[in-house]
Amino acid sequence: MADSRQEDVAAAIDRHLADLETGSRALGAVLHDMGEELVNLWPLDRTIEGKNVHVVCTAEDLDFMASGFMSALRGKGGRPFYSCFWNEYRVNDVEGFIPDTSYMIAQYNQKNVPKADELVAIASSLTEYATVASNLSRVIDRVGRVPQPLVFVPASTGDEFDRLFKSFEARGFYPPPFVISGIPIASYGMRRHVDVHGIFRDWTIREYGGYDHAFIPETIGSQMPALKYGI
Amino acid sequence: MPTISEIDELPSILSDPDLKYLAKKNQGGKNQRDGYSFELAYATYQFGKLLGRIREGGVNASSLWIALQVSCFIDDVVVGLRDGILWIEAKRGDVTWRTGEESRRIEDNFVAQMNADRKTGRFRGKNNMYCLVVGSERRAKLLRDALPDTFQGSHSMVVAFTEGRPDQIDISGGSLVATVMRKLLPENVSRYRYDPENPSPLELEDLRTCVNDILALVHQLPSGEVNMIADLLPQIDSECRNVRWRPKPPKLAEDVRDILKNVEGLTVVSSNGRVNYELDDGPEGTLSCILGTESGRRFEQAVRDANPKYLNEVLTIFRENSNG
Repeated sequence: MADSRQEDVAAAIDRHLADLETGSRALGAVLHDMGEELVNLWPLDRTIEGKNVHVVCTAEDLDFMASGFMSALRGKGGRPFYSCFWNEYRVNDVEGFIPDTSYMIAQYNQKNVPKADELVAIASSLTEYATVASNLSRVIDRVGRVPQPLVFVPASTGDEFDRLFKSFEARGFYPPPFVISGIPIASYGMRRHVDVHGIFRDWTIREYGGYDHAFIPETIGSQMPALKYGI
Repeated sequence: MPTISEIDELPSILSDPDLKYLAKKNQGGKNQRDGYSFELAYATYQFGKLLGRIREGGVNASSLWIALQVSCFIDDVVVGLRDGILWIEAKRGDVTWRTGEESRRIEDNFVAQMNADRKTGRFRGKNNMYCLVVGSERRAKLLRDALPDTFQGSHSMVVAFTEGRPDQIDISGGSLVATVMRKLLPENVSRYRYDPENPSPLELEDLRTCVNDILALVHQLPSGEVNMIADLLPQIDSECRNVRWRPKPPKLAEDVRDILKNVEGLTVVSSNGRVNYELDDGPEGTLSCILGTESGRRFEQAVRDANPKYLNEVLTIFRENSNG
């Protein structure tokens, strides 16, 4: 039976993407709402309530999409905690012949977290697919045995999805993590093409003075008194 | 550009039909995606081996070079070593020694290269190696068992390279690529446990970026030219963050270390070419800086300029210069 939730989530994500494109709402709020919305696509055969969910994301995504996702998870009785990564991205070959490289600059892991029942990567887009693959792979080792990890993304093109899939395949993950896209991935790309990565990137550069810079997200800053200074 | 007699003098000893053949032989080049991807993956492995030799010490980078798709009878990857040349023909498909056009079969091309080297080579081809690389061990064995008699007196070999396409290079435990590239990783990854039977994704991720770095660099090399490894080292420094070729990691400058020693609330640690901080009673999580790189130099200069007295000043410098 078809999953009836998908159409509702797709419609909501469609509206959020329109907001992103027009800039009619604050970018952070839109991404936060998209993160919240995506929890509704949590696989029906896996319960959330009472589960320890380890969320993997980038520093850029933590305060917004990942934060919205974790807040909705809490609302459904889940216990989220996270690992956050700072990455520097390099496109090695525009034709995609050579895989992209994502350097890990730094990482932050919450302390004293319980053993994970579920492992989830949250990404505002799969444009920088190697970052998702690299960060999630690093955490897979740390959390031990978990069910097939999940990757939540609002929308993606078929090409990005294929590259992400290949990245995990090359890393020997089979089956690779299950990608859950707010708007179903079609061969022609997303139904409504919005350059989420580009919009978010421009915003981050304006706010922080750079994209790959090791800024400290508020979500971490509020827990790290020692690092509050100088932010 | 240095003169490599085996390559540069070859046209002078060839007949017109041979010259025309060589000109045509290279036309596919990078456009023949499938064949090129196999050559590229193997060239990346060879390039890693050269860097590994430099890192282990005892080999001068100025004596090493690599060329791709040169105008020669064996043309895919040519590696220059101190005392000889390694000629490599890479064929992913199920080839035999007799694959190819009449009188231009793989065997014929190997013999032609061996004969040409005897006439042009510095050591008359005595130290040169002639290598056919194929995609499976089974195919390699068949070819080894059928090594042509015409090769007698020359060093020839057949190698299996099963590591895959550039986007799928196998870097698991015992793979050829992993064995070579692991030696090039920055020193800090040694902090990760390593078990060949069950390699940690922590290390594998660093290894993967190391392989991608070298892949990208080799992909950029111009076809048909001799590339001196010594000339490429600065490019490796600037573009290949996860590749190390220098035998010894640089240390934090003494004056910078003295300045940082006086800052309260954190301890700055410099080891294995990397400087990072440990917050007194702070959370887990690191920002660190690799020394001997451009950002490493910027970090040291920033400390000298700012002469920091407080924790937040040092953290700002780390955040602005962190590179791995």
